[in-house]
Formats: sequence, C-alpha cells, structure tokens
Amino acid sequence: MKMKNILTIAAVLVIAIGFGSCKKDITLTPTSGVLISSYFTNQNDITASLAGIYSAFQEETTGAGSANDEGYGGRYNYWGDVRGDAFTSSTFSTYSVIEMAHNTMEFSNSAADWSGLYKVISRTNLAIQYYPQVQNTDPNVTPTILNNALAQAYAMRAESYFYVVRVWGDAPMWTTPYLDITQSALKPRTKALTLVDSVIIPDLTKAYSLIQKGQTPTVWYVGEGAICSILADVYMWRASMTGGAGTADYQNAIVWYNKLFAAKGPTGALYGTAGTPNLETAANWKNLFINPTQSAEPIWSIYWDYTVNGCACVPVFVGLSNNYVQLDANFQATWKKQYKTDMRVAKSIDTLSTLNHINLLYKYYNLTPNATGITPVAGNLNFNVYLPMYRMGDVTLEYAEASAQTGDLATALKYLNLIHVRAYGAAAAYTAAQLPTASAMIDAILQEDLYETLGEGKRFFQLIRTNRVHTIMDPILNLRNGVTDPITLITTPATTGFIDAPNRYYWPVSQSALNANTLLKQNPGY
Amino acid sequence: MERSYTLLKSRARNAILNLVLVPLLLAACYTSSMAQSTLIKITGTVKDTKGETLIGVSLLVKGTKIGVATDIDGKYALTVSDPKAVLVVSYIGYITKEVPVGDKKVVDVVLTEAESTLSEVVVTGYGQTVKKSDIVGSIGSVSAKQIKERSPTSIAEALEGQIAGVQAVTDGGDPLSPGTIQIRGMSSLNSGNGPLYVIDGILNDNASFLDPQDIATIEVLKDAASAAIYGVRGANGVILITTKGGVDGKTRLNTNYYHLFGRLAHKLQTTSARDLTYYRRIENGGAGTGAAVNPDSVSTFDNEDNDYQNLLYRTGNKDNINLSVAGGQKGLLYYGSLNYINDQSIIINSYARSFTSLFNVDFQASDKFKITNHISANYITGNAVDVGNTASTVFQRNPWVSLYRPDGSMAGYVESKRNPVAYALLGENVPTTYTIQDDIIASYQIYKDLRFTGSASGRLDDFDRETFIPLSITSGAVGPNSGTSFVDNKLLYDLQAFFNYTKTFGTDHTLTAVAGFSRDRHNDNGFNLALQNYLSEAIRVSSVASLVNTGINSTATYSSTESMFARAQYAYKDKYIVNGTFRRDGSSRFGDQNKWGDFTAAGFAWRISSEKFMGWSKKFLDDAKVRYSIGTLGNDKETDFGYETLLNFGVGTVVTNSGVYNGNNGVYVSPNLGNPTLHWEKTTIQNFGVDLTMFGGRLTVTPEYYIKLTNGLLSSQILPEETGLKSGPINLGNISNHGFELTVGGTPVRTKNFSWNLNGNVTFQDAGLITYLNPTATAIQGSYLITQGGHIGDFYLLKNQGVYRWDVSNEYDASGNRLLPIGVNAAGTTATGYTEADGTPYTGVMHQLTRNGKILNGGSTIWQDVNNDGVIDENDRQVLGNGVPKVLFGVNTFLTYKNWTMNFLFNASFGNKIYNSIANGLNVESSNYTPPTVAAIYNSWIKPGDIATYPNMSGAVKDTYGSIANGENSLYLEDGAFIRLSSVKLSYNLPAAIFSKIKARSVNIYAYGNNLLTWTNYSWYDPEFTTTNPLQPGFDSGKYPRRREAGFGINIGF
Repeated sequence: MKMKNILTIAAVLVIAIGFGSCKKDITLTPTSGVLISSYFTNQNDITASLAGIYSAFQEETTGAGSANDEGYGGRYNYWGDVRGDAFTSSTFSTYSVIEMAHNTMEFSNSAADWSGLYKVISRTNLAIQYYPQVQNTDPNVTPTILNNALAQAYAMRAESYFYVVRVWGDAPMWTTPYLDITQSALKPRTKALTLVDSVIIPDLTKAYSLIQKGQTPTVWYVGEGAICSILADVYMWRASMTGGAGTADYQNAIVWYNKLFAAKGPTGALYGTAGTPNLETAANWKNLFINPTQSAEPIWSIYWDYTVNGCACVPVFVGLSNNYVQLDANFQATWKKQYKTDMRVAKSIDTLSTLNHINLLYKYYNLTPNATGITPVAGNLNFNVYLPMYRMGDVTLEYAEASAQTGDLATALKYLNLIHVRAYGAAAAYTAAQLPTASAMIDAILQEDLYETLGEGKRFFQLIRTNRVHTIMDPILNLRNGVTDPITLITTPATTGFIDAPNRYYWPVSQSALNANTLLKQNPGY
Repeated sequence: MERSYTLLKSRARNAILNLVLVPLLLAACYTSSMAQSTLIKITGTVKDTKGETLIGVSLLVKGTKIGVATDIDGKYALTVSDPKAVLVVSYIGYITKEVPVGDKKVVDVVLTEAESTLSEVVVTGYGQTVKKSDIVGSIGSVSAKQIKERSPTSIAEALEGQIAGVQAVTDGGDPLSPGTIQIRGMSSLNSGNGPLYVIDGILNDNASFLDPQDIATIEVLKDAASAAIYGVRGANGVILITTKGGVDGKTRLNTNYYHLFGRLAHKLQTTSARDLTYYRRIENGGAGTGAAVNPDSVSTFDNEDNDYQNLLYRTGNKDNINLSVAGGQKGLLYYGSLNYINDQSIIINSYARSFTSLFNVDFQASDKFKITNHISANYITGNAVDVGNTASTVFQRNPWVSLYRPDGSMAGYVESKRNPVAYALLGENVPTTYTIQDDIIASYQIYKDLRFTGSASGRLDDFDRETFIPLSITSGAVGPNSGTSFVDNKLLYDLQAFFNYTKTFGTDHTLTAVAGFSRDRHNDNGFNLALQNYLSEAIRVSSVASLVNTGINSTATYSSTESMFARAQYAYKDKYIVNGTFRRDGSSRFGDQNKWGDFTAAGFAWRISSEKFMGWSKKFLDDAKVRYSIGTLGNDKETDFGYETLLNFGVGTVVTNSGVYNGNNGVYVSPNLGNPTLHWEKTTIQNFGVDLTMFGGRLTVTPEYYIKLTNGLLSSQILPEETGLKSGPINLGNISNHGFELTVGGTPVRTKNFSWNLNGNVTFQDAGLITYLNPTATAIQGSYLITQGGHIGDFYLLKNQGVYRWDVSNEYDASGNRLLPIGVNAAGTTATGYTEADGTPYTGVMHQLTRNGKILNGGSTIWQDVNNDGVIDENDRQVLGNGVPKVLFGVNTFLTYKNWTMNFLFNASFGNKIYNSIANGLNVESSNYTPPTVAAIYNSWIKPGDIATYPNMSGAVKDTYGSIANGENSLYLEDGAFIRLSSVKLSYNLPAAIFSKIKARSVNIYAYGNNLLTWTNYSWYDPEFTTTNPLQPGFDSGKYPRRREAGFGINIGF
C-alpha cells in the first residue's frame, strides 16, 4: 500500500470517529419513559393518567400485589379495622400488627407511612395541572370529558388528604406537582383543620361542580354519588375535630346525603327516592362485595384484577394460611351466636374459632361457610377483592348518626332500622322506646356498624368520630394487654385502657418520613 | 544475614567494575572486528540457571545486525566473521549477557533471571508503553508469573493482597461471585465504585469473562497521571489487562490441571434440639408446656436433632483444565487457550461451570502495517443457591423438625421455616452468561516515529436466569409451583483512532505522545417471563404453565460517550521526566449544559540517583526516583436518563400492582425525578511517590502518599415522601481519601540452589471522609450515618451497655450516671439505697430511662442516654465505628530450593467493624419458630439479679422494651480485623530426564491450599465479604460462607 493511501485511510478514520461524531450522538432519546412536555395531548393520555391515580390508590388500600413489609395487603384494614374492636393480631403477627391491635404503636410501625397517599396526591396534582391543555390538541376532548376527568382528580386528591388527616392529623400541603429537584421539597405540617377547609372541602365542592350529573356511574371510579358521600363523611369527621363546627357540620353532611340521593347508582337507579335509600336485598347482600357492578347500592369500590395486579392479599385474605390479622375472639363468639338471626354472619365470617378459620374473613369471597366453617383454599392467590369505599348501607347508618347528632331521633331510627331489619328481619326492628336518647341511638348505630361494615376499613374512624374510643376499646385493650401467668395460665387484665388518648388516636409519623423531611415534627405521644 | 551482606557488597563491587570495564572492552572488540573477516560457524544452547532451555532468545552479534533466535530446544546456529565477536544474548525477564566467541565452536550460554524489574515495560494505554523506570504515576502490576503461582479463578482473586492500595475482596465460597475491587478507598457512591477495566485496549465495566491464566499482565493505574487518559470513567482507578500473545518459534503447548477440595472454613455453633428445648422452657416462663414448646414427645416428625449446617454443606470439588497454545513465525504470532472450570462448591447443589476460549493473533503484514485480533468467548452457568433460604435458614429452622415427610420426600415449609436442604436440592436459580468480545486493532507506522492505530471492538453479554420452585417446597406443598425466565442482552461497541509518536532528539531528549478520538455505546435490553402452575415439573417452556402477567416485562436503555484525548511525556537524559494528559469526554448521561467534562493531569519525576551529588550512594542504590502527579478524573455512572424527569407507564416497571386499573395502564411521573443540573463527578488525585532500587535490584522500596478528593459525588437523593416521589440523582457532596502505601520487594537470600524472595505491601488509609454534603441528603441510612465531617461507613447505633439486673437498676443521677442499687429485694423491685459507680452513696434526684414509652426494667438492655433526656430513642444513636479498614496488608513470599518452589500469601485488614446483622436478626424473636443464637440462649437475662449479655428472653416480654434494636444495637458491632494465610503453594519441577521420554518441555507438579488459616475475632462465618452498597460497608446480612481449600495440580509444557 502506498503511503498516500494509508494516510488517506487514516485521515478518513480519524474524521469518521472523531469529527464525524457530534453532539447528537451523545444526545439520546429515553427508551422507557417520555417527557411530560410531550405528553397530555389526547384523550388516551387522560385515561392513562387517571389509571395511574387510581392504581396508586388501589395499592394503598388493597396492597402492592404481594405480601409486603407490614404483613399482607394495603392499609385499608390496618388504618380502619385492626385498631378497632372486631379484629386483633393473630399468632403469626409482626410487631407492627401487634402494636396496632394493642395500641402500642411505635414510629417504626410499617403501616405508619403516608408516602403512598402522597403518591396519589402528586399524581392528582399533575393531572389538575396538565389536563386542561389536552383540549388544545384533541378536539374530541369535550368540556364534559375534561371536567369529568378533572372532577375525579380533585376528588381523589381530597380523598387522599382525608385519609392523611384522619390517620395522622396535621400534614404537609402539596397542591402542585413537585418536578424541580433543585427546589427544596421540605415543608412543615399544616394544621389538619386547615387541610380540611382549604383543600379537602374546596376540592370536593369543585369536583361536584365539574362532574356530569345524573349519569350512571362505573362503580370503580369516583362519580357524582361518591363525591357526595366523601364530602358528607368529611363533614361528619370535621364535626368531631378540635375547632370543628359540631351541629353545623352534621347539617352540612345531611345536605350532601340528600344530594347523594339525587345521584344514580351502578344499575342506573337513583340512590334514594323520597328520602329512602335504595338498598340491596338481604338475599343479594353479598353482591355488594363480590359483584358491585350488578347492585344498586354500591357507590365506589376499588377494582382488582389478580392477573395484572397480583395477589389481593388483604390482611384477612382467605388464600393464605398465615394471616397476620384475625377476628377478635370475643367479637366472634358474640356474633356467631346470631348465626340464625343475622343473615350477615354466614356471609361474612367463619364461625370456627380455630386457626385457619378465625383469621379469615369471607365477606369478599364467593364462599359461604356453614356452621362448621370452611377449609380455606390454601395457596390459591387468585381471588379478586373489591374493597368498598362507600355504599348506601354504610352511608345510611352515617345518615342515622348525623340525624341523631342533630337531635332528629325519628329519622335516625328510621335509617338505622333500614339496615337492622335487612339483617334480622322486620320483627327485630328497634322501637323508639328502646333508643330514647341520642347517645343510646348512637350506641345502637355503632353496634350495627360493627356488623354491617365489618372489615370495610371504617371502624376505628367511627369510634373516634362518635367519641366512643374509651367506652368500647378500654375493656378490650385491657384484655389484650393483660399478662398471662405461664404456669396457671390465668390472665390478669391490664388497667390502663386506651393509653394516651386523644394523642394516640393518630398514628405516628414514620421514621422514613421524618428522615427525609427535617421540617416534620413527630405527633405527640410518640 | 552476615553472609548475604557480604554477598551484596561483592555484587555492588562487580557492578561498578562492569560499569568501567564493559565500555573499554566494547571499544576493543569494535576495533578488532574491523581487522578480520573469516567466517566462523558457531552453535550452542541457551539455558536458564535451572538448566531449562530457553526458546526465542535473541542472539545478536554486537555492533552488527546479524542475529538469530533460539529454537524449540533452545539451540541456535550462527555465523560470525571474527573470533573476537561478542554475542549479545537477551531475553525478556533475564539479564542480558555479552559472550565473547573466542575460538570456541560451541558457545553455550546460561542466562540469569533479572531481579531488577526496571527494564520491564509497562503498558499505559492507547498503544503506549513505558519503561518501568520512567513511570511518573502510580502503577501496580501483577504478572503472569504471579498469577501462575496462585491459580486464581477471578481477577479479584488474582489481585488479592498483591498491590498496595488495592482492596480486592472475594466471597470465597460462592462459585459464581466475581468479587469486588476497590482502588484507594471509595471515591464514588454509585455502582461506578468498581474500577474501569481496559482489556487489550477496550474499555469494559468488568473482566468477568477472562480466565486469569490467559493474562500476561495486569496494571492497576492508581493515580491521575496514569489514569487521566481514561478520564471518562477513570475516577475509581483503571485496571489494564493485557492478554497473552504468541511467541516466535515453534508451537508451544501448555496444559494445566488442578483439583481442589473445599470445606466450610469456619463452622458455627448451631442450635441443637436440647438448646431449643431449654430456650422454649425459659421463654415460656419455666413451664413445660405452651404453644411453642414442642409438645409431642412421641412424634418422630418433631423429635429429630438436625445439625443443618452439617446437612447443608459438603466437601466441594473444583476442577480446572487449561490448554494453551502459542507460537508463530515471522510476522504471524498467535496465542490460543481453552479453559474449563467445574466448581462444585460447599453447599449441596451449588456449582459453577465455565468454559472460556481466547484466541489472539498478531499479523505483521509489512514492516509498517500490523493487524491484531483478540477474540474471546465465555460461557458460565451454575446454580446460584439462594443464601437467604439455605445458609441463613440453617439457624432459623427448629432442629427438632424432620427433613422428610412420612413418605420419604423432602419436607418444604415446616413451622413457617423453609427446609434449607430441600431448598438447596430442589430450588433452581440458574444464571447463564455468554460473552463474546472481539477486538480488531490495525496500526500503521506512518513515519519512523509516528504510528497510527485504529480499532473497533464489540462485546456482547447474553445473560439469562432461569428460576424454578417446585410444588414440594412451597408452603404446605400445595403450590403453585413457579418459575421465571429472565434474559438480558448487553451490547457494547467501541471505536478508537489515535496517533503515537516517539522520538529521541540527540541522545538526551525523548518525547513520546499519543492523541486520538474514541466513541462507545452501550445498549441494554432485558425481558422477563414469569410462569406458574406447571403441569409438568420436567418442562420449563411456557406452554406447560400459565403466564403471570405481573412478572412479564421488558426493559431497554442505552448510553454513549465520545472522547478526545492526548498525552505527552518528555524525558531529559532519563533524569527529568514530565508528562501531561488532556481528555475531553461527552456523555449522554448528562443534560445539554453538562455533557462535556475536561480532565487534565500532569506528572513529574526526577531520577535523583543520576545526579552527581548522589554519587556516594552508588554502592547500594541502583536507582532512585521521586515523582509527583496531579490530575482529575471523571465518573458518569448515573441512571442513563437521570437528567430528565420522565413519565413512566403501567405494566413492566415494577413487579407487582404495576399501575394498571380496571384494564387501563397508568401513566405517572417516574418516582426517580430527573435533575437537569446533574454534572460530571470529578476526582482530583495527588500522588507523591519515591521508587528506590537497591543492591543490584535485590531490594525495591516504593513509598507513596496520595490525596484523592471527589467533587460533585453522583448519588441519589431521597426526596421527602410528601412529594409522592422517591428519589432523584444529585451531585451529593465531596469525599476525601488519603493514604500511605508502602511496597517492598526483596531477595534476602540468593544462592545457587536456594533463593528467598519476599514482597510486601501495606496501606494506611483514611477513606471516605465526607468534606461536604448537600443539605438535602438523607443523614441516616439504615445502620449508618452520612454526615458532613463523618466518614462513609460510619455505624450509627445505640450503645449497648449490658442488661439491667433488677428493675431498680434503672436509676440515674442528675448528670446521667447510672446508679448502683443496694439492698435489693429478691424480686428486684425495691432497693434500700443507691451509690454512684465509685461507691459514694447518692441521695439526690434520680430519674429512670424509658424506651417506647415504657420504663426500662430488669432484663432490658442498658442503652447509653447520649442526650440525657431520660428517653432512649433515635436521638441517642452515635457513631461507634466504621466499616472500612484503616490498614490493609499483603505479604507474598517465594522460597526456591533447586526444583522446589514454595509460595505463601498472607493478607490482612485492620481497623474496621462489622455489623453482625444475621445474629441480630435471629435474636429479634420475630417468629415463634425461630430460635435465637446459641450465645443468646445461654447468656440471656432470665430472672432478677442475672448478669447477662442478652436481654430478657421471656416470650411474654419479647421486644416490648426495645431491647433488641435490630440494626441499631452496638452489641452486634464486632471487630472486623483479620489476618489470613490466603494461599500456600508448593511446586516441583520434574528433572528433564524423567519427562523427556514424553517429549515434554517441562513438567511441574504442585500442591496448594487456599484460606488455610484465619486469625480473627469476628464471630460469624468470615470477616471478609463483598458489599453491594458502597454506602454500607461491613454489613453482614448473610453471605455464602468461605471455604478452605486444598488440592493438587500438574502443568505440562510441550
């Protein structure tokens, strides 16, 4: 080869490798994600974004799709049920679950983590900021479509903050998405009442104004009825808060219950006509849980599909043998005596009190135990659990509670009996004479709630809202915290009751949250 | 000693004589050769001092271009024109000898092995080499000879204890672990903490596919002046690997075989049925019954006494067969090798099998044009036995439970605990990697001094992992059986073009330079498939089972880099050497504003021994050089698109509940926020070194000091949870490392039959000092504190000061000193008075400590109340040690007697702590069925008055008082220091008479052992283990235990 040729080749190579390259070779397009600026251009983008919001919320309620750090499932049952009177820790429990059941929680409790709810909030913040621009590029996105989507984003944000306020009280307020890492993300906690008044209620009011009225909703999404139900629930809760407005809030709750009656349920029927809620029949009661799309009563349930979401391993799941949570033994003994009178017993629980029975809740499964129980389908993870967020049954009892709180005992009795009679039959109806005072009425409503909404993530909030934590939980916690003599096996009950109320109504703020945000202060009592 | 000193003196004298005489003789020869011109044919053999013939030795008639090389038998034939001719006999690694021909017809030559390594050539990258004596930076080398002495199976093993400042750590037992290598402390937190591997010029992230036996040299570039030419990813040091090439002459075939037996190196005491029964009784308050005490004394299923450790471990067997062939003729050289390893390790059913081939060809097409191809292929597979379900379960499963079901099959879960033997035998986790790397290098000598090189190379890693859990070992054996199949393809290609320039001006000025460009690209694509409910467990394809949607996903990412680089070195009379490097890199991992990084370095060396004023030292000092270098290196190891905030989509990003709701896939902001301000991490290294060669090369001493500062540390910042996101990449802060390294090599004794060679290195380091930390960084990470002024690896724990004997022991005076109760009643609930620790009575104000809202009582751990607020909580944690060693050393010694060679390697590290997280975890008692450690069973507090190490073991108390503090308890912080005799090898070269019948050139048989002795106070399996998270060094969460190995081998050369 001639020198000249060689030089030419060398020069070409140098140019090809060196100068031939330019900035574009080291400017690559991401392969597994897209820029926000190039998204939110059509209706599909809104659909996907809403799915992102709901799936984050679903992960928080039903779980991540497998056994995770606090045992099984999401926080729906941990926050709402395990600290109450119907459930307790099982033989297989972790410390976290034992702490919940014994009211001895630590900041290290693995369910004391609000990051999942804030994940929902951040996704709704993104939605609220970016949905409106879709109209510019997709003519098919009508104002109605846009408003319905925005209404759900607002309502989901409010619902998430509502959980935060109920579980932890004060909390940082974020109403815009955090996208710039160069800006500090540290925020101190905002007062709970401020969150209720400046985020939750305005968001729900806005959602109601945006949502298309009179439509037949899909039960898996927040619709007109769900917005009314959440808002009424918020007012009920606000009434119980320090600085809440008491009666005025109950009145507001009643206003929103009545707006709920005007909305349509999943079957297209109105939720209430002439002040009477449209309830499922006793015979089809179980449809509320296993088939909510086919019933008039459900308002909003959480969807699940094990094929894509994994195992719906809620803490009282029937597919696993080592559940961390079981029914409280006294509760179970008391309720199973009503096996023949209360139609809900056989549809909700296994009446055997042995292992692999007492730790299973059958409500969400198409399984009906008889008086000798049922053998769980062990190892079978393929069940879908549809957790109800709101349904006419629990709203009816709340309506009764609001009425009792405002002194309207007649309405309260009427609504309480709607649920009571459905379970026990007409002959068992309460009479006005049996429940002469508001207090007695509320006690009866709470008793009904215990059975009707068993395992529906509401119990502990009901106890706080009605200020019944001490009366109901003290004797139970004294038993649970009793000391058993290992030789005589005699248990001496504790005498401390529910320690450090009302501080410990709230959960501790998790250590990981405190570590990541130095402006946070721990809740008193922890 | 006296004798060797005399020897040294005489040698020094000889050297001086030579210096004077040789030039005179040469002059004489030159003049005489002019006078005569008769042709004389001479023949001869060249041998080494052991009598072994040397092949390819160059013989040159001095002052001419007439020369020849020895053949396969070490023979040569040459014609000279003058009996006064002098033959210059030279061979790499041997002292060049000049032999006058005289009137002899047969001139046999014996060459002595060179002791001084100064003339050795060190590869410095991009076609450049430098004489060892001219090195300006800090480079450590390991040669093929050193590798051969130890038969390592991985690069980390080959480097273990060999080079000062290099911390090579292996997981001795795990047949699939490649080990980790860290050069001069940590300068980086991300996965980029490993060094850059440059294999025959090609930049790689690892060298796992290479067989150490194919390596000619490993050079570790420790300072900036050496590594800056690899600026882009050189911040963690660079390891240059040159594979073996062919040699001119007849084909040489070499075979090597060894077999090693391995046993569990350190057995731990496991809980026996008797220990467990005792524990359960105490745990249940002394009663013989209770749910957790084994109630059934006749059930055979519950009355075993298994030592799972004995059942799980076996004698390992490792076989290695290596075949290599090297040869060539003028212009064409080749080297090829095949290597097979079958490693059946010490856990049953745990194995690795690998097959490696390498083929290197050098083709000198013309005087000027040369083309080289390196191609290697590697296949490795094995069964990666899950340590968590086997080695760790040894301590978790109750010893009294049977291994078998009544039908004789292996029991799976019993009492919530896996059967370690069944898991090891029946569970499958088979990773397989196929790697192919090909590398074509063409170079052309444009002028005498200027060479152009272009290269193109590619590497493909095809990784797949098959896992399977059969029905029988699932919970209750009711399934579902499940499996996954994961495939990941990594493709790397790399193009380089550069010019090398070498010129000597006059006699005093030497200039070498290189300049060029390179670009590379990495693609990484993965796919995962999950299956369950297999209809037949004999089949693994998807048609036999149902797909699990949540386990099906694919991933893709890529990155690219562009670089231009230049380096020049100028030497004046070999006395003053200056070198400078510049490199500019562009990385796709940063945003537009921060893509480019400039890296410069400079080094200076002064050969002080060449100065006149050093004349007095000539008697013992052969060579002395002082050197200094400073420069900057970079690191771009960050998520490929970390500079941009992206939206992610439902299925495929996480394993479960993957963002799908009611049939719609979700979109959401990636939990890892982008950071457009992200920029290059830069490490500045200063290196001060002295190279001393003394006593005719018999002693070399190299002290070095370095200061290594990392700026803009790339790391992940944890975001406040209220943002709804998890983390984002940031330039977190700055780290400083400095250290002193001393390398000493010597030959204290060298006689005809016996020689003793000793090499040692020691490193004193202050590693990972955090000099600046972004205020948003998370301070507490698990058991560690990351804070400005602290060190990486600082353990942040509660200080355990024992266990309260009585309830009344928990009393403190106003200043927080613990008081001693006197007159304590039997229940430990009342005391008549208190004294200070020194015995003086105390009657002042007293307070008690609380934890978790409870007043600590007898049997609770005594925690140090650092802030004296009476409450033991997170605020009482303190830094109680560090996981990074302060001192590392390695000593390597060879003893040669006639045909026998013995080699010892010791390595050690001091000054580090280890958190024994396994023991801590076992003692948590989180499960009713997990026994604690034996130490805890017999040293726990049981009744008031007990002086105990471990807290109250009553089941009723469990951890109510927060006495275990998993991950935060200083009781489990142990001293990690160790000294290890990591290898011993005894080899024997058979005399030629024995093997010449089989036409072999050499036969060497050897016996050796690895990890024969370890001195340590660490209580768990082994104080040395790899760490995946550089922020958490020394956290023992359960590793594949190390083995002790012994075996034999044979090496035959033809």
